Amino acid sequence: MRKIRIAVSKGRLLEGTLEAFQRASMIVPSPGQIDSRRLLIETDSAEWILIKDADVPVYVESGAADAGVVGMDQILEQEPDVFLPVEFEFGRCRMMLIARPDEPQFGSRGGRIATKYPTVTRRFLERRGLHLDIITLHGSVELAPVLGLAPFIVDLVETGRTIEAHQLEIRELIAPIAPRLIINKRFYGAESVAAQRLVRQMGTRTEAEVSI
Amino acid sequence: MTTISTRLSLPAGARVLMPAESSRRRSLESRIVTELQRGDYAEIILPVLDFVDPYRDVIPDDRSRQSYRFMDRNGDLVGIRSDFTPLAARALSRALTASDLPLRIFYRGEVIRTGRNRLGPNRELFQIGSELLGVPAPDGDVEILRMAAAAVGSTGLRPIIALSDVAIVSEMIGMLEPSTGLSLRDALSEKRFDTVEALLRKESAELHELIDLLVTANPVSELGRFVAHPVLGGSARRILAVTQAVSGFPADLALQLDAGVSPHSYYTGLQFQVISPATRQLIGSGGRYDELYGRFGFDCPAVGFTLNVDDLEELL
Repeated sequence: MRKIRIAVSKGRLLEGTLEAFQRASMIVPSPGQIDSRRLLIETDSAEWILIKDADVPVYVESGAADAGVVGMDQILEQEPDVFLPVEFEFGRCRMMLIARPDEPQFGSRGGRIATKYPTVTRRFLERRGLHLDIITLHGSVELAPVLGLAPFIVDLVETGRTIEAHQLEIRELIAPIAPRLIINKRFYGAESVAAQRLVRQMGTRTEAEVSI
Repeated sequence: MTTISTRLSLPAGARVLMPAESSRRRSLESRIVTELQRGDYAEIILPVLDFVDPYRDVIPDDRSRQSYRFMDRNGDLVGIRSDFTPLAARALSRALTASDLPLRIFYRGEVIRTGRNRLGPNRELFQIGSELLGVPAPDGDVEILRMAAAAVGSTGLRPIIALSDVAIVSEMIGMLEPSTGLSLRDALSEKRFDTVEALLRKESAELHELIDLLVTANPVSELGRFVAHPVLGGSARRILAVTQAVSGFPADLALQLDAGVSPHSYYTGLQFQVISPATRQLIGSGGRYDELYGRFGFDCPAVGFTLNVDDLEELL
């Protein structure tokens, strides 16, 4: 039986994720190992895969990784068929609707909205009965209203400084976002003791659950 | 050698097996079928096509859309098979009488799924499935689990069989106020323990104890405490009987009562997954569906499993 394989995102969540695993008494990759550009790193506790946050759900869902940590933004966007047992305190932010300040509230007249999250945006618009063209971008979404690509965007807001710097306006909260431990369903079924040990180590579960 | 499939454009997921691959497939198929026949299971051949309409109450719409569907020349909506179990239930319900039971059958062939899948293209899957009709739990459950372990074992692989149970989860949720029950089912199905905690904050200690049972790994010893429970006793006794009987099988068993069971599936009790221990890949799945045949007019307990032969082949 191989060691548990954990997928972690190389982006803004990396530091908090490794700290969370460390607090759970797991041996995480050292800064030197992370800087080595190796994408698969083995420690005494686990095999660690360092990948883009958007790829964490697919690695875990497929079973290529047993577990991973990823933001709720990617979970909402991709809807992976995985378990979501633990929510973390670090790396929290909000998914917001943002607009140019001169832009009126959108009605049913259409228009464009740019985002890295087309699925979440489509569902949000559908709930509101709105029909806007969704433009999918892969980064620097705040530029879209500044350069006239789209007056509205849906994006993550952590401190609000980027929004402020581009003189944009937050209009509406779409979803609070926190990182989550995600676990492959077959791993949870077949290796339930190991999976639940991981959940206990990482989690915020009740005393009763911890006593399992 | 260039394979045919790289030179021809085929629909997503469709495959051509070259002679060596075909030979491997047939060899594997033959070993599994021999094992099923040794267990006294007889082959039935099921149609590739059936009407969509009779399955409306059985297969949720999103699942039904996973099959290729089209209008036939009479204007009826027809689907290519994407799941053997409901097809077998409808086909057999019209032909069976009580005197045919117990009945042990197996079938084999391709199912075709068009559903969106981020992990791969639409797929043509070669499956071998087996069903035991007319034998209720726990005896029927034990027999089908033994058969599934033996069928996979005939290929040289010792699988992990992850057992779950739909009935006990539903019974627990039924003890709650309906809206809390629905929220709890959703939270449990995704194992969002923080939400579970929040939902149960005001509930009784007994309920906390019950939910612990759902989230405990291999809760066989804990189940013993519930055999006299007024709501859960029947399920607890049944699950214990199954787990005790299957302990000597050629498979490693893992019991996890709430393994994220979909509330919309047709399973009514035992549910299981057959998993490769090395790669944790899903090789097959099965369970009990005591209400399925009744939906087609023939009331009889039924339990069965399906193996994905292509997935199994990849592991050997």
